[in-house]
Formats: sequence, structure tokens, C-alpha cells
Amino acid sequence: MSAVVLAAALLSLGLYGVLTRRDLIAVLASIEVMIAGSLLMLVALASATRAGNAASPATVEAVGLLVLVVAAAEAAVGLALLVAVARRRGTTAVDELTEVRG
Amino acid sequence: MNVSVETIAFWFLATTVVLGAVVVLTTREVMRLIVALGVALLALAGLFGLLGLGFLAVSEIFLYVGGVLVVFLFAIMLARRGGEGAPELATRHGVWPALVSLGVFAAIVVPMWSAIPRGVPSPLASDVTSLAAALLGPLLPQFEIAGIVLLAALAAVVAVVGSERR
Repeated sequence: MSAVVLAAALLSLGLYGVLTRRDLIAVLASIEVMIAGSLLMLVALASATRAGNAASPATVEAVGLLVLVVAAAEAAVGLALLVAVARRRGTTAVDELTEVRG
Repeated sequence: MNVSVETIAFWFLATTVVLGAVVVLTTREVMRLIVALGVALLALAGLFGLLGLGFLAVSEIFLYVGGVLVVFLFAIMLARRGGEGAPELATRHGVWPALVSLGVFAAIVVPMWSAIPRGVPSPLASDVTSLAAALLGPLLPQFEIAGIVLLAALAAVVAVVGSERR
């Protein structure tokens, strides 16, 4: 058991949440858990392969920051869509949002 | 067998992250979900700090616990004004989702099982000066693209939420 296994566990826990939760808010939170897992995987693998690794720790940290920025943008757009859907349809239940039409 | 402080901290933070994630997956109350997500992300920031990436840890706290969670709260306040009859967060547990996520876990871990180091990961020891040199040196295009992504996300948020108000 190490940080790599922990990261994989977070990713699959988040995936289970995305597949089973029935409310958009919970689905978005599960996606955040998945992103956290993949970010931890990046850092953990960089730490694990440090011996033969060309990338410096600063590069790892910079790439982690870029992942963080993209995740924040994803969260902002996802939550904006959540608000728009809730205003228009009056619900955030995934089961009731089956039409592509607005 | 002597146990170092790093080992205890690693296991404490790892347990906290997993417990927070499990609460996020199972709770039926919105506020409990937000608090659990915050606890999990704080513990994750602690793990980054333990791995020697202090700036990433602080950014995680600022951006996620300080930023994204507040946006979550605002979205919930705007989206769920049901009051008394506000529906709980429903979950439909099943065998197939569990099998799929277990399969993903196995597909990630099994191929590199022999290569995964055991125990507490060794710290990477980065400092802010070399981080700045990396971001404004070899990673400058990616840094700029991240800025454009943020701007595009901001425009998308305004377009999606603002277009409702005609």
C-alpha cells in the first residue's frame, strides 16, 4: 500500500460515485474526488520514479498546478450548468434530465 | 519496530482522504457532502505537503477549500431553494457500478504492482524559486494556456448562467 494505491482507490471511489449518485451536485462532487485521485497519482508516481526521472520536483509541482487550474475551471463550468439546469427544469435529479432538448 | 512521524502522518492523512471520499459517496445531506469533500481535500493538501510540494499544498487549500467549495455552496444555494421539501441526495447502489470501479482500480494497480514502492513515499522537495523558473521557463506555453482555459471557463460561466436572465 502506498500513495499510488491510495490515488487509484480515490479514482475508483469517485467513479463509483459518478455511476451511482442520482443528483447532479453529488455527481460533481464525485468528479472532484476523481480529479483529486488523478492529481495524487501524478505526484505519487513522480515520487516513486524519482531515481531515474528527468523531471525535476519543480516541474512536477508546476504540472500539478496546471491540473489544479483545469480542475477549477471544470468545477466552475459544471456548477454553472447545474444552476442553469436547476433554474430551467426545477430539479437536479439526474433521472429526470434525460432529454437533450433544453 | 520504530514508527516515524512521517509514517503516522501519511496513514492518518490517507485514512482521512478515503473516509471523506466515502462520506461524499454515501451521505444524503448536501451540507455533509460539502464538509466531507472539504475534509478530504484538506487531507490531500496535507499529503502534498508531506510529499514535499508545499506550494501545491497551499494552492490546493486556497483553490479548492477556499474557492471551489465556496462556489459549490453558492451553486447549492441558487439551485436548491426547496426549503422543507428539498429532496435528499439519492444514491442507487448496484453491483455493476461497483464491478466497473473495481475493474478500473485493478486495471491501474495490477499492471504496476511489482513497481509500486511500499510504505511512505519519499518527499520530492521542491521550492518556490525553482517552481517559478519552471513555470516561466520551459512550461511557459502551458502556463499561458492554463490562463486562457480559465478565461474561457469564466466566459462560459457568464454565458450559461447569464443567458437565463432575458
